[in-house]
Amino acid sequence: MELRIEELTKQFGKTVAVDHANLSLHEGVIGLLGSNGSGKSTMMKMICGILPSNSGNVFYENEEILKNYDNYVMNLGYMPQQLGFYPNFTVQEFLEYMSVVKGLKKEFYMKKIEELLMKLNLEEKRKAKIKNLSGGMLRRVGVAQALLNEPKILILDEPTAGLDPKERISLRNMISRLGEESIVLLSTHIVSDIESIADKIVIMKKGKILYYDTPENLLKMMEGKVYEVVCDRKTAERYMTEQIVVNVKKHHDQYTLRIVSDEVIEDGTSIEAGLDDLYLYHFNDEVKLEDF
Amino acid sequence: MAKMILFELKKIFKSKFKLILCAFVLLGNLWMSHYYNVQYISAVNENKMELHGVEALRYLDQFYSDLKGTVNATYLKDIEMKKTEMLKRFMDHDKSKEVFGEYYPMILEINDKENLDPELVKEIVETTEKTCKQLNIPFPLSYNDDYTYLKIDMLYLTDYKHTRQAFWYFDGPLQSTPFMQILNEEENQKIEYIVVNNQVKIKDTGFADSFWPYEWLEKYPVQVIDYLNDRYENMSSSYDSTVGATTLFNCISNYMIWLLNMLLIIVLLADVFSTEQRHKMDQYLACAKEYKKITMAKILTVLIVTVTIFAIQMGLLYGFVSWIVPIKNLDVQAVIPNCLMPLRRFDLFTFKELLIRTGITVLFALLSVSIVTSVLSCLTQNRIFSSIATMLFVALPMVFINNTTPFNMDYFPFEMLRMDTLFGNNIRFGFNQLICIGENVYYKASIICVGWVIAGILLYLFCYLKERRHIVRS
Ligand SMILES: Nc1ncnc2c1ncn2[C@@H]1O[C@H](COP(=O)(O)OP(=O)(O)O)[C@@H](O)[C@H]1O
Ligand SMILES: [Mg+2]
Repeated sequence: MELRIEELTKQFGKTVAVDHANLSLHEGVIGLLGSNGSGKSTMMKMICGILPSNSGNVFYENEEILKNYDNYVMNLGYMPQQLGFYPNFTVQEFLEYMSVVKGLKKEFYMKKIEELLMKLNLEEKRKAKIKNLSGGMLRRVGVAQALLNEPKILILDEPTAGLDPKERISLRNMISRLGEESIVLLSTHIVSDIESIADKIVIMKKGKILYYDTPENLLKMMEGKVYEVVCDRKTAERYMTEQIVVNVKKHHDQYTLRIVSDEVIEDGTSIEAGLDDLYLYHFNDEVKLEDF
Repeated sequence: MAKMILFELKKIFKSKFKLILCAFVLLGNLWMSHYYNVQYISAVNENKMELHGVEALRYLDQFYSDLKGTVNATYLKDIEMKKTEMLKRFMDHDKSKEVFGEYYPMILEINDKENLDPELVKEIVETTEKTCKQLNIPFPLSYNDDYTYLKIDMLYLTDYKHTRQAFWYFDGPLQSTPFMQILNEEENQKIEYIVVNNQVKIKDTGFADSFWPYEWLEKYPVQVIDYLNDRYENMSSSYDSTVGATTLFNCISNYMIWLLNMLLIIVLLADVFSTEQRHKMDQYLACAKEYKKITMAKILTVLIVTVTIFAIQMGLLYGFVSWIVPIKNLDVQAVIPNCLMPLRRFDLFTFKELLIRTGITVLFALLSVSIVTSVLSCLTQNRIFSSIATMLFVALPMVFINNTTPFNMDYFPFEMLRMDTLFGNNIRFGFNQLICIGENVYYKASIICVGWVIAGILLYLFCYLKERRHIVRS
C-alpha cells in the first residue's frame, strides 16, 4: 500500500502554504510535525482531495486519486482540524449520517458504531446532542467518524488538541494499533503526541518538507548537538539569548539548562537528544519564549 | 436516498425554534381563518335569534339546503311564490296599507313581474305618489317608462333582520343574476359571434351580457369565446348549499395565510444549502463517497418540506371548515351566497375546479419561494442573505401599488396567491387570464406554474453543477 505525493504545491495569494512537497507513505503511523501555519492542514486537505492543488498530484497505489475518487474515498478516513457538526444531532445520529454519506450498509454501520462508541468511551454520550459535548468528546466523535469505513488511509489533523492526558493516552494507543494495518497520517505541533508511536516523522516548515525519516534516524542527526549546562543566573541569561534553550530548571541559585547547538558548548556535557530538541532546533525562530 | 432525505429533514427540523414556528404558523392560520372568514358572519334564524360565526354558518347551510333543487322554470316559479309568501308574512301590513291603500294586496302579487297592464300600473303609481306627498315619506316604488313593470323599492317590514336574510336569497332569481346563469336553457344565453377577416364580431354577449361590453369580448380569439360557451353549456344547473365549500374557498384564497407559510418556508429552507459550510461539515462530506447524492437529497427535501407544509395547512383548513359545516356539493356551479361574500361569483367554475385551481396555484407559489430561497442559499452560502433576498422577492409586487409595475408581476409568488392571476380582473369569468396557444386555450395561472417548473429545473441543475465538485470552499 502506498500513498505518494509528488511536487504538491498550494498557494493562497502570496503565501505558499505547501511548497513542492514529495512524500511516499506506507503502513504505519506517520507524524506530521510543524509549527502553526507550516501547511500541515493544507497538505492534508490536498491528500484528501478536497482542496485543489496548484500543481503536483497525490497517488494511491500508483493511481492519481482524483481519477477514481469514489474508490479512493472508500479507503479514506479524514478528521479535519476544525471539527464540524450539526449542533442538534446526537452522537448516534451524527455517526449514522456520516455512515450513510460514506455509502455504508446499515447492518455494517450499526455494528461499527457500537464498536467505536465503546472503544472511544462515548457510549454514555450516544444520545447527547453534539453541541453539548466537551472539546475532548467532540474530538473523539471526530475520530469515530473517520474510522466508520475502516479506512486504509487515515488522516487525522491535530487529533489530540484539547484532550486531557488520559484521553490522549488512550487515543495514542488506538492510533498505534490502527497503524499496523493502515497508513495513519497524524499532524500535530506537540512532540510528545507522536514521540512514542510514530513509525516515521515528517517535519514541515513554511510549506516545505524538511525531513521525512524514522525518529531514530532523525535523532541520530541531533547527536552531539544537545548539551546540559549548570550555571548561575547571569550565564543562564546569556545562554538564553545566544542559544536554543530547550529547558531551564532552577535549583536554589543553580540553573540547569538544556541547550541545542551546532557549536560545541564549552562548559556543557553532551547528552542524548529527544524529539523536543529536534523540534526546537528547527523551529526555534518561530517559537517565542512566552510559549513556555 | 430515503435515508439521506431523512437526515436532511433532521438538519432542518431538529430545532425547537423551527418546530415552534411551524406550529405557530400552521395553527395561527386556523385562528386567522376563523377571524377573517367565520367570525364576522351573522344570520337571524326563524326564532328571530341572531347567530354569529360558527352557528350562523351552520344555520345558513341548513337554510340553503332546504331550498335546493334544479334551477328550471318550475323551480323559479316556486321560488317566486315563496318570495311572495314571505313578503306577505313579514310586511308591516298596517303601514303598507296606509301607503298603498286599496292597491296593497295587488301590489304584493304583481311586484317585480313584467308585462303588466300599463293602465293599472299608472294608476297605482299616481295614487301612491299622492299619498306619499301627504304623509311626507319617500316614494317607495320603481317602474319602467311604459308602465309594464312595477317593483317595491322600500319594503315596510316587521322583522327586518330575518327578512333581509330571506330576501337576499330570493332577490337572486327575481333579479335574474345567479339563477339565470344557472338556468341556461335558453339558446340566447350563449355568446354569439361571427368571424370577419379573422376578427371576432360579437352579435350577442349572451351570459356575459352585464359584465363585458362587445369591445372587450372582441379582443379575444375565437377559441376563447368557444371555450367560454362550452363551459357555460356544461355548467351544473342545480342549486344547493355550498356554504362549506365557500368557506373553505374563502379560507384558502386568503393570501395572508399563504404569505405566513411563505415566511415559514423561507426560515426553514434559507439554510438548506449553506448549513454545511456554516457548521464546517463540508470538509467531512466532500470526501465521502455519496457526496454527489447530497445535493439531490437536499433538492428533494426542499420539495418535500414545501409540499408537506402545503398539505398540512390545507388539511387543517379542511378539517376546520368541515368541523363547522359539511363541505359538499363541490360539483355545483360556484355561486358564493351573498351573505358570505357579495359579488363573488364564478359562473364558469364548479367549486371543485375553483378549489383545485386555487390550491395548485398556491402550491406553486410556495414552491417558487422555496426554489428561490434554496437556490440563493446554494449560491450565496449565507442564510441571512438568502432569506432577506427571498423576502424581497416575495414582497416586491406589494411595493408597486396600482399596477405601476415595471414588468409583469404575475410570476411573483405574492401575485400568484391573488385572485387576479387565477381569474383575472373579472373574477366571474377570468376572460383576461385565458391565453390561446395554437388551437388550445390555457389559463395564465397554469402557464405560470409550468414556467416555475422549468425555472426550478434549470435553477436546480445549476445548483447541482455548482455542488458537484468535491471541493471545500475556503
Ligand atoms: N483558505 C485559506 N486562505 C488563505 N490562506 C490560507 C488558507 N488556509 C491556510 N492558509 C494559509 O496557509 C498557511 C498554512 O496553513 P495551515 O495549512 O492551516 O497550517 P497548519 O495546519 O500547519 O497550522 C498559513 O499561512 C495560512 O495562513
Ligand atoms: Mg492546521
